[in-house]
Amino acid sequence: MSKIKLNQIESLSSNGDLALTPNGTGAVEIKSDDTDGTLQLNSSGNSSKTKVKAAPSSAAQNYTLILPDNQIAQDKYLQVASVTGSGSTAVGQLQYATVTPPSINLDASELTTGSLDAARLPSPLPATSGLGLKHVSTTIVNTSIHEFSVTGLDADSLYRIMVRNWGYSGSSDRCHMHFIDQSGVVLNWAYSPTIYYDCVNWYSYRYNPGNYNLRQQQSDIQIDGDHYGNQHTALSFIADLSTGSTTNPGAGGVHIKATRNYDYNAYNAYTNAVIHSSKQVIGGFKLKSSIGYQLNQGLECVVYKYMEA
Amino acid sequence: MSKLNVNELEANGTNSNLKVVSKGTTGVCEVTGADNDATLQLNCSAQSHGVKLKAPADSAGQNYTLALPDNQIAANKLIKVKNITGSGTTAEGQLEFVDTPPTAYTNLDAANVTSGVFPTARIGGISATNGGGLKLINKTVVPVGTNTNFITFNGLEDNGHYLIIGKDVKYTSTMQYFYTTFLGADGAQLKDAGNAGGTNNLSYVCWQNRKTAMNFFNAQFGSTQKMEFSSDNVSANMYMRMELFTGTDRVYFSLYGHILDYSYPYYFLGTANLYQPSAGTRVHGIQFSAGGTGGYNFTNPTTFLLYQYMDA
Repeated sequence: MSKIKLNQIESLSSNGDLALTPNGTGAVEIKSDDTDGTLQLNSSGNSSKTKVKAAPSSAAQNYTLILPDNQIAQDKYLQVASVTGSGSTAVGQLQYATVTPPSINLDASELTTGSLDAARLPSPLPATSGLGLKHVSTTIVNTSIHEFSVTGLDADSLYRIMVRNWGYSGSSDRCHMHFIDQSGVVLNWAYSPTIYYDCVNWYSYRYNPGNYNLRQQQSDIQIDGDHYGNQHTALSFIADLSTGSTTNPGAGGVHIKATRNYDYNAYNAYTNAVIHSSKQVIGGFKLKSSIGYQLNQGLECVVYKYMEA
Repeated sequence: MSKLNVNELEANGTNSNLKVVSKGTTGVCEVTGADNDATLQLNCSAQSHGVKLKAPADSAGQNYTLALPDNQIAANKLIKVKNITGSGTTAEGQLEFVDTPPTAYTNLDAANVTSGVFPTARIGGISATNGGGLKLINKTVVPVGTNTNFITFNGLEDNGHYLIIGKDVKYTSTMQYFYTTFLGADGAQLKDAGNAGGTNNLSYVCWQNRKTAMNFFNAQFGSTQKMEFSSDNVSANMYMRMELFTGTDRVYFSLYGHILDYSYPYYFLGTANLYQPSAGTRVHGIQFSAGGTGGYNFTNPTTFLLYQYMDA
């Protein structure tokens, strides 16, 4: 074996490569008698010197790394594509690879900033998680109107309606209700077929409850505040509305429990109402002054839906 | 310093390596380039291709050492810096073959969840203080084409406050009574021990009810029978709203109902409690029936919804 001892080998000509040519299956070997073989790559100014170094002897590795055989690209990882042979003399073919992080279990407590977009939550939220009552709408009167409507109610559903501060700027008038169908059309005398209402009214005051009044085939639903059915300057009420379904429109109807505000008698007046004869699926309701008085500013109507899943 | 100026060094023997040997513990085989960053080219055997390892630019100021992986090579492994000796630009990094690292999902920003919808099953109980004040416990629907005599809710909690809504309640034929029964921990009817068959609990049940048409008032005390809440003699749809408190010795039950699919939308009321129950007796369940043991049944679309008012 021939050996040349020297400190530097330099290419002979300008811009000429310096080739190291082993013979046959031989390799260019970087070795040192006293340390792990290290190949140093200097910057052009020879001021910076990065190195590639052999694994230590203790690792007992004799593998071969074949540089990637595919196109280099930004953001790729250097990955062992395949291995030929086995053990410490295996030959690994590298490749530039795209690495997809594996799925792992997320820890909800690691959501430490921001807030979740509501669009990411299922709709409706599950009633079985405690969300059995869903807010549907709030109507606040802040313009000069004598009636308003709430539409878009689902078929085959139950709603709770809360109305506060019903009144007419000091004037006295009755509160009337009409149902609205699933298309937004008011169910009244102008509807085809003509719609009438069957109602029962009663009250409680001292003796619980008082006699009832049966009002059949009415043009609308009159919401009483006391046992006289008086006109009212102030009224609040809670209503439970069931909308019925196309296969069972007869299940639609409303129960209303009303009380007169600012009245020392503290009556409770109740109204039950259903559509007479020509049943329709209820899709909303209209509340109005019976003779067109302007409603109180700040009158509030809040609608909730009982969730069933 | 000795220097050899050549274009090529070639091994001397067949299949022999060409060794470049540095001296001492700090000597290295150095590749330099007078005008360019040092580059080591590895050619394929046909000399038609040559891939290169190149030094970083001088501006990077790096003098690090990469020690090739010291572990077993295997397919799909990535190369990772295992550890560092020293520091700064002259640090020595030991490489290793590793599996693809899992992403560490820590300190996540909820606003970055920008697609998809959380499955309902992934949403647990929401506290009452966060808006989860009314929890759906059970929904029972009488299926189309079937009739049932009993609707039963068991497993009610102690000191629980429940809302029960009867939606589109309908009987198979005209029926006057909506029968209600309190159930004990064993699922059997709570009865007055002083009456025949009253062996379950030392408790009484009393109730009253009335309905519009008759201004009917009825009171029972110490009965072993079911509570008979008089509705009306119709088979129309009914709406019912019931409140039930199950606290020991403080059971309270109220019922409001009205008839929907009928030109007389009458209402009916009922209240009930346990009178002088034996210590510890409470309601664990409630059962509704359309006709007791008779031939009357609930029919579709009768639906009962059991909600619990959550207080925490």
